[in-house]
Amino acid sequence: MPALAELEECFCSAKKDKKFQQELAQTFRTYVGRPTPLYFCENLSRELGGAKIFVKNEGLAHTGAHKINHCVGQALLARRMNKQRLIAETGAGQHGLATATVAAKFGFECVIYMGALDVARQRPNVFWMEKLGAKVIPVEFGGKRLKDAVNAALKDWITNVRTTHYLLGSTLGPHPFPEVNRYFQSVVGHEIKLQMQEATGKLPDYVVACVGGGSNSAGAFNAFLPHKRVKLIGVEAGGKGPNSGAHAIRLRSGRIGIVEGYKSYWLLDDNGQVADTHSISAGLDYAGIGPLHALLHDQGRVTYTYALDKEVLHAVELLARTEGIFPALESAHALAHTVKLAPGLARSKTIVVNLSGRGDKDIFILAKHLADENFFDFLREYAK
Amino acid sequence: MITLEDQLKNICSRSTHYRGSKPWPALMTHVVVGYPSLPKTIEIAMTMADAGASLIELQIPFSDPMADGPTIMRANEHALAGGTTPKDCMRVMETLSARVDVPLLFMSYFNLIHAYGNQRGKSGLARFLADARSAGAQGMIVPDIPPEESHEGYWTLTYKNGLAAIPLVSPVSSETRLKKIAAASKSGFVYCVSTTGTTGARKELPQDLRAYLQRIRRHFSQPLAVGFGISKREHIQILSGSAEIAIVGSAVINIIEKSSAKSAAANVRKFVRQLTRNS
Repeated sequence: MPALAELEECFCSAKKDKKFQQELAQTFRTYVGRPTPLYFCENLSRELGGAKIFVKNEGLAHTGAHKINHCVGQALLARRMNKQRLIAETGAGQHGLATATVAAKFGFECVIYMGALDVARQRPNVFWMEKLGAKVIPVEFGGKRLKDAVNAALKDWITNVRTTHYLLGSTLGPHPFPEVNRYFQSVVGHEIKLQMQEATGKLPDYVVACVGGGSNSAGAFNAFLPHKRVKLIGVEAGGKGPNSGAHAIRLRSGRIGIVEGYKSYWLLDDNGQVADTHSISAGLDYAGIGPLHALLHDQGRVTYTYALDKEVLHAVELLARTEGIFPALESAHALAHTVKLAPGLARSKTIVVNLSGRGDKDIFILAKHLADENFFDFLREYAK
Repeated sequence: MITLEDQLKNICSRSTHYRGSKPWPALMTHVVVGYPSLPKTIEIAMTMADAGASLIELQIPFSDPMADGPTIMRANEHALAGGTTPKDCMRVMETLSARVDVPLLFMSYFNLIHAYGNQRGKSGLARFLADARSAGAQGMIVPDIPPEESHEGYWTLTYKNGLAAIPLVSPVSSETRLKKIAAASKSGFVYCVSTTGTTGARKELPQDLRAYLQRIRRHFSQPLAVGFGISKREHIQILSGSAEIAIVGSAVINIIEKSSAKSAAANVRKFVRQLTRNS
């Protein structure tokens, strides 16, 4: 609790501090590569035959995903609080990679907690994090996934709270973390707004984003919340289907829970134990959802739906074939829903898909699911 | 069965009886219900009471025990794998409160209490407290409810149900927070976390423990109980004169883990005796 109060105080004063804002903007521009492009997917739109589809390509941000936005912001806050050490949890490895990156840039010691299952399925990111000087600790308890990594990081934090900032990687956890991350991610939505004005002269009709903990979607949606005309759609991990018991659809099948210091919709069993989840994408494979999404769901401002693993794989192939862009499996959930949405809409309508990350990290998972025998041959040969 | 308030009075007056030497702290032990099994939990808790524990906390196993270290986490996982439910824990509480004289407390995380009774969408807090009270529980230890968060009126509702809501404080609790916590807690004792971090047996206790406890003492009229890291007689020795109660959790589970099913209770008895004998 004292650390949360310290963070809140620091965050509130930093927001009003011109120097802080200048350094943040400067780092976004010269280090992260902001603004990231908004790209009109002409071929994809033509093939689907309906609304015009744009992608906000956060995959082109430094480290390959939107996570770098709140990592830069929080690293600046940690420095302001005189912390020497950054710790973080990671699912797909993107947040861990971004944390290790800002730790290297700003000179922090860095420890990343990652579920042992995720370490196994996202090895390339583990490699990069270690090369950046971070220590990656596989979490061997519980389901060995993102939720358990959050637990392990929280335990480290309560032990080393005096020296350490917990660079929490999504819009979840106790206050003020959801607010801090929403704030630093909101740059994405602001850019979309300006870029759509430039490209089409108006606001988009739809903004679609995937929702794990909810950071990229919070960032994409935030600027549009007051514009009721803009329909906002959050896409959760449907895994093997809503009745399979192997998914992470929190808003339709979850119930109110209070875990990891925040109250939201959680996938729980009848006794209140946190349930197992599944998704092809490690980043969405999580039993809780950021509390602001619970609110937006209850208010009806954002519509939440889901995409299945197999629809996601199809979406990855489709975008690669039509536009030459590999989306991360997480972001491909948003795309998979758009594939269903676009054909039913008039050509005058526009959809912005927040492509929160690029797909390079998923090469092993894709090769496995698409059964690419040549790739396996290569691996066998290489391992010799 | 003795009431918690009477037991705490005994503990405080007993500590003044030993003239010359510093008063030896009373012992609160801990079990994870369902570890290693429901019948074994009952047997072990009865053994603890018999061997001299003054208070016992019964932990309801949870999938995400945030404040617990590896030892108690393993016990939680084991109990859940065995199918232990909060309802089972109520039954164990009922059985034990009829069989032992020492006050029993529930320890758990708020999500289980909120979900209690599976009343979709509705908080299970009121029902949990009513059931806990009628099962014979006398207090609640819930580490993930700070007094800043009222959580459906947890603090006042617990008190109204005749249960003590035990507050937790730590070495990083500020003076402002301690004031708030003292205002929210009306009965029972104060659970002083010995050091920042999670539960688990440690070799050494922090150096500045006494100063920390003196600081806490200024804010509370209740007796002080110290937990996290306490694993041997020497640790309790250090607490004598500074705290009324020592809390031992993980160290007992370590003993059960190393014991055969048959010898577990006997080994726990021996250990508890070592910790309570004032010699």
